[in-house]
Amino acid sequence: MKYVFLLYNIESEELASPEAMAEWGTYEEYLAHQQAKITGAALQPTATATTVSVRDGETLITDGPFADTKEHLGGFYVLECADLDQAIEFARRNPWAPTGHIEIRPVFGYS
Amino acid sequence: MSAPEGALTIADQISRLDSTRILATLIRVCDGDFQLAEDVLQEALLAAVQHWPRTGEPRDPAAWIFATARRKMIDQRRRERTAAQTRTSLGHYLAFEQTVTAADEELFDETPAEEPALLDDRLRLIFTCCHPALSLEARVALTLRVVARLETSDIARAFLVSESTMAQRLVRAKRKIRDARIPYEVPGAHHLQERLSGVLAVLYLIFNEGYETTSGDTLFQGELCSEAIRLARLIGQLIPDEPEILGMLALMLLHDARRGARVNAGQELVLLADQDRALWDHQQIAEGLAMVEVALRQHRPGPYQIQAAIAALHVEPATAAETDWRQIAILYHELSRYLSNPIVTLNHAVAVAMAVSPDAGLRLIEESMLRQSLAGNHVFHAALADLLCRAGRQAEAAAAYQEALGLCRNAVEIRYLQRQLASLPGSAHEPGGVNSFGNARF
Repeated sequence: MKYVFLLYNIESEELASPEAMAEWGTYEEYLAHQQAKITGAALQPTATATTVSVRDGETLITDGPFADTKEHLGGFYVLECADLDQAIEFARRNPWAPTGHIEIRPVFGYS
Repeated sequence: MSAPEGALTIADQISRLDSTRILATLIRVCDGDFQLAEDVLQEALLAAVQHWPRTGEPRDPAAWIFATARRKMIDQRRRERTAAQTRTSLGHYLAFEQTVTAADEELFDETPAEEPALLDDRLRLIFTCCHPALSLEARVALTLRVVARLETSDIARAFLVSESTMAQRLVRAKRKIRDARIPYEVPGAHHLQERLSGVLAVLYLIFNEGYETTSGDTLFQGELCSEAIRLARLIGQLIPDEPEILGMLALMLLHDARRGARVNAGQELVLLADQDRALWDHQQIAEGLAMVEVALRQHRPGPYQIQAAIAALHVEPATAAETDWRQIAILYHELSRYLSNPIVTLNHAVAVAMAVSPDAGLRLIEESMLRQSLAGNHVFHAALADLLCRAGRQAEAAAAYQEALGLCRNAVEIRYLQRQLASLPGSAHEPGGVNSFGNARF
């Protein structure tokens, strides 16, 4: 079953430190070993975000992320997991788990 | 879907424990679909009502119910697949040959001898219902509905919500189990302890809901305590020799044994120290005490065992005056290493006040900043009032009782607090009137 992992954290320089990068390398290796990764990406900072909506036929374009929260969406994964317990295990090992939050969402449509 | 009266009678005949076992196995063969399993179980019970009066009760009623439900499940799946949405009439099912096949027996069998008891489907059921990915209220509701097999209306009544709210809560929880694929499994060894404490927390919360609430439908609240004890016994039977399970069960037994003495004939609260110890269930106390010993002898201490040991110290002596408060204070200090929570600190302070002096207890309360962390808790203000009163600080005690009254919502407790407040000014407090507001419960 596929789950999307939404990775939230407070944006800071430290998230891109060499130590942090090394942790991501280890995590990616772990996911590869588990043959779990379908796709995933790190997102550029929210300063680069643009939010679009259409109301009454009019397109509204605003600078910045949709939700103004303390922690921002900084990346995502789509992982194949046997069940929620395995998904929780993958989230628990994510380098951002100790400082940020990982939201796990099952994807519609089975198998 | 609720069963008609007759079906419940049959369900009673197979006993609720058996029906939990049938349901637990059905959920497994339904690939973790709780709703489907519950629906086909109800249908099978209905079929039993129709069938048994004519054919006589089968040799193994539980196996018959299981086999019938499983067949209905297969039938339902087939219908879903062929997208034939027409509802099949009951007559169709009754025409079905109702026999237990070898495949049914294999699926619905006792735990194989060589496998650990962990594989019992009921254990899968408990762990799934108490999965941390569900909200705490959903875990409690599911455990009572699916494991304890209580009616939705009764659970709603116990938690003071409407039946439709409770039904919604259950539906949402079952949907999350299915859609997020919460596994129908007992967790692996490295997460077992952690998940087990989650299960125990749910059972203890159910117990407390029955124990702490002295208002409302008291009869049913008592039933909640009994259900929690029954579930704790079940899990203790499924995972034997686990000291924390024994500790929690002992704790429940020791508290529950005092149920008959906690409220007097006039529905007024009677504090532990003033309770008529002859009204306690001494057989249950003996069982609880023996269980604490068995648990502690394993030398794997934990918060439930410590709390059970404290409860034991409260019920063992023949009179309240003989209570070993020094030992209780030591145990609360020990407990705070496992549970860092201000209520534990408060209980420790109360025990110190009883063992040493009111001033010593009050000093602990000030040092641990409980006035801040428990500002909104009426139990704290009541306990503080009692200690202040003992220390001869009547005016401050009165203020603390007022504070407690402003926060308390329980009618029985409010009357108690008013009596305490009224007895304050002028008249000296009763010596030896142990206040168990914070400590050891009522």
